[in-house]
Amino acid sequence: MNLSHHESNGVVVVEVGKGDAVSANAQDFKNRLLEFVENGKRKIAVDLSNIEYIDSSFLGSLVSVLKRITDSDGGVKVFGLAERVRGVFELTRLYKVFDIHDDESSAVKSFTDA
Amino acid sequence: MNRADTTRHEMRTSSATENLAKIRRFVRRAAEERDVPEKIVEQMILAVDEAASNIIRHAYRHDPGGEILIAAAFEDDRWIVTLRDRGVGFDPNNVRRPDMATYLKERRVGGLGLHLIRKLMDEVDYESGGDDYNQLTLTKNIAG
Repeated sequence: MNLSHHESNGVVVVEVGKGDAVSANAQDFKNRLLEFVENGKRKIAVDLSNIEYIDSSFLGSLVSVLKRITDSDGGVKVFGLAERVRGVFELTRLYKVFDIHDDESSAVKSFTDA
Repeated sequence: MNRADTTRHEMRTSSATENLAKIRRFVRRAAEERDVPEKIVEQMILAVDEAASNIIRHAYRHDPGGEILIAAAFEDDRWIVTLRDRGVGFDPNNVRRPDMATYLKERRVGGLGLHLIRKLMDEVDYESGGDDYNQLTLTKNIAG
């Protein structure tokens, strides 16, 4: 899975590359995000705008990272959800767990507003 | 369509995570037989994908040498997909429905797949161990 990242106002913005967010790459995704956490990054915004399909394994990885980062007083936001990806967040009710934003600027700003 | 005219699509694959993409393509191809709304196709793909993931993870415990048999057919306005495996069976009634209030607190990442399947499908039936197979039957009404 292709992941790229940059920092904006102290927030690590992780762009998930084009493809499916599924069990085949969920563990890799989780490990790479946890590397940020281990390196002291506690504010992460995940850009899912390139993703057309997501399964529960990938959502489970996001939950694991959120749990780890929440323990250390940080947060994970997600943004750029396509309609069908947003539908899966709604069916699993994970929209109640994740702070979901339309775009990067809104996600990054939400950390400073908190 | 007369039930006797229904084409049955079948695939046999091994329990490797890499095969999930193949399984998703199989479901999409099976849908081409009928004028199935795209949203329903996507729902069935996700439900079958989650079911196959569960077979790989729980029935075969990540052993890629297990066998998964998938069959798809239409009966009137019902789209029926069955998944069979020879792995460890389970009682779906014993799988807790995830409580999102405690989900994060307990880092409970299991059970989401079955929860999704139940939300996406009109009927979900599971038989464990009969005829040496476990069989999950997913049914979706395509009439809308």
